[in-house]
Amino acid sequence: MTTTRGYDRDFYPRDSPDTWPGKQQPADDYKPPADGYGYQPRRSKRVDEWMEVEFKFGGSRIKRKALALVLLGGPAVVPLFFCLPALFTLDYNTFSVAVDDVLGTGAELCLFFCLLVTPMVTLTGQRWFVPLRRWYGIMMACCGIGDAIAAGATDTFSGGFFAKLTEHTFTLVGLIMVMLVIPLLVTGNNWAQRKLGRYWKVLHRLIYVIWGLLAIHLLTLFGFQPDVQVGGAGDGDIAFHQRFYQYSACSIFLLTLRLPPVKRWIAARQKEGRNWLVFLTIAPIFALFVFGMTFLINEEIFKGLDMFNNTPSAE
Amino acid sequence: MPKHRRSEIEPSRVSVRTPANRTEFWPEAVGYGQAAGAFGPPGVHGGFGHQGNGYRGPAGYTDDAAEPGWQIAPEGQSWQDWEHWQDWGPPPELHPDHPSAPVPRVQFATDHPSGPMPASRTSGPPGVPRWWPDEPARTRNAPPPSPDAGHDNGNRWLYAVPDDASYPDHAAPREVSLSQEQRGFRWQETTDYRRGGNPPGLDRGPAPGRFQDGAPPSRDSLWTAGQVLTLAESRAAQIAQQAQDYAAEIREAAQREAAAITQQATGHAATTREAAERQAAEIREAAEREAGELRARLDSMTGELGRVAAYVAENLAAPPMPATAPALPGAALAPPGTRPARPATTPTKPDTGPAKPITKPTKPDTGPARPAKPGTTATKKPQKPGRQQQAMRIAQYSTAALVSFALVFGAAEIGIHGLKFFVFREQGQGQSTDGPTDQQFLARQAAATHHAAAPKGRHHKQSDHLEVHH
Repeated sequence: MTTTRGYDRDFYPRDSPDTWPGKQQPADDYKPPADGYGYQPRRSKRVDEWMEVEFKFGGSRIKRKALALVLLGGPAVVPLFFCLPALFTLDYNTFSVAVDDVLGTGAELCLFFCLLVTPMVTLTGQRWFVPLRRWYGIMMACCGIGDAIAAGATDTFSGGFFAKLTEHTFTLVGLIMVMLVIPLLVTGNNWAQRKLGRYWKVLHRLIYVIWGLLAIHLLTLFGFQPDVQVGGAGDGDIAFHQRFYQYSACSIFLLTLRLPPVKRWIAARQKEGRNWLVFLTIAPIFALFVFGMTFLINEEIFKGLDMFNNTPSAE
Repeated sequence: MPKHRRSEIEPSRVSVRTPANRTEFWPEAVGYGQAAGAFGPPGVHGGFGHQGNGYRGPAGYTDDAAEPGWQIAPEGQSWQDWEHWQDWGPPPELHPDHPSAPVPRVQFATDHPSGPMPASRTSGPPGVPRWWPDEPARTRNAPPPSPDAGHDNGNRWLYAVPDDASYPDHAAPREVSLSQEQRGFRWQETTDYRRGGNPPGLDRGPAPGRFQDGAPPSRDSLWTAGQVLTLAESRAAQIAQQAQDYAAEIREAAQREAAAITQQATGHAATTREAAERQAAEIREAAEREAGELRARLDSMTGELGRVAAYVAENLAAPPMPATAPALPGAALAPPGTRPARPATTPTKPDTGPAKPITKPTKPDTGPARPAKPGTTATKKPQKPGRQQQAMRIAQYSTAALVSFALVFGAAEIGIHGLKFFVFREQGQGQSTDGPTDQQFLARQAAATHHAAAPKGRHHKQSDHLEVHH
């Protein structure tokens, strides 16, 4: 008779130590299933099930997951929200000065949040927040396109609309990124998923191209001299006001957890029930990620509030 | 209640058999004063069939010849008018369990383990019903253990107790006759109302006798009643036997009929099964035959197609095309399933795919007769891109167009303003905190270009040398 007695906490009954091929197969060679997420601990599955439970909200019943997704996805609209006063008042000056920072940084944040979903699934095993990946991707595209439109329309560059977008290195790279994000935005729905089938994922791997182009964009725009304070006198922490370093700090974590050997190692440790070892190992680069994101968010909030108040900051 | 539903735990036979009152001990018509009215010497028995004259005989019981020695009582004469009845002695003793019986109601024998009762029965004739210590306890439905243990007539138990003390064996059955009765047998009878009687065949025959001494001859009437009951029992047993025989005949006939039906059904099933198997075999044969034909046809078509493809490829690879195409080697067809010979040179891809067969092979109706997969790969159908692939191509082309658009514009800008301007970053953009703006940069660049292209006064025409200032 099947019994759960004697099993470890995070094991499914079928994944008991007796049935797991870890004795014959080293854990480092463990290959996660084809879904790309690897092993899901039972505790994480319980969280997913808890998120699927409905509760009464305003006379209707909604899932806990829906509320959590709304709360977690809400910040994605903040960059666009900051632009609304300048848009409604057609404040050319505000757009010209601050829209690049607000929408550009917003798009970068959305891109990092979009890219953060998969590593978090790998780490926690929970999958209830996977829909955030699409949402943040869409918002990243919207912010990027908005940034491009604003730059082409209001920047002080010479030439016309497309000339402003293509006459410099960073603008051309930005335009290419926007051009690449357009097909992703168009196909970021279920209809396109059905139409493209297995090619949908191939097409949406363009996000990694955009991720790489962002590095070039930031490098050409801000450079990589850590001794030069961006935007004048600041808090003295010059390096992390450099966008490229912010980008690098965030990307190390996102990139590391996407490497197949790392994913296999994490899945093996989780299967062994040593999730603490995974967290301990990942903690430094995760802290680096949080540190970089803090500067980015700080930049977004202060520049955004300035833009929202129609007092744009040129720092 | 059915017999088999009775509880196994029941009061002992003794207590059950013991009549509850006198009316059980004596039938209604055989009361105190009329106790032996229906029993007695010849003539008393004639009370049968007469209303109010003791025991009622069965309907039509008028033939005294049926029982010799008995005569029918005259019409209108009661049994009390007979003179003999007063000689029968005192009325029978009340049953110990009768409410009117003197206490104690149960009298034990002297040798009973319980010992003598403190008060002995003072009234009544000797030979009162008593507890027989030698009688084993029995269940209610159990038959008497021995013939002398009592006779069950369906409603009560009769015991014939020999009066003779020297009676050797109480267990020996004994035919009780009228002469014995006249020799001074005394009856003791205990009744036992039973809800269900034993099978009639168990207690067939006359009641065994058990006698006690000291019984008056008048008690012979009881014996007579016992005889009557015995005869009735015999008749009932005979009827039951007849019924059993009849039931057995019916059962045998039903069994015979059932066996015949079973045999007939078995034969019919076997016939049906054979017919079905035969039919299935025919269908299978036909399907296999058809499948074989289709397979042969498909193989031949496949081989032919392979040869055609090889021929076309070979001819396309050949530099001079012959004016007239050679006839297809129809006569020397290779056996189906063989792979066509590969051309020596790599054939160029024909514009049109290999010719399709004009008629598609019909799909066989039967499932198992699926045509085998042809072994040749020469006729591999070029796969048409699927809808998903088509959609992917659209996405790819769109993306490429968008990126190309950006690149073309960038290249154009580089061509217009130069590479320096392309890598230039005006003040306020990114890390450039100071420096010229785009317009200033372009103006300087234009000025520099203009200065480099401006003529040098009158010496301009004298020299073709162009001085360029950077």
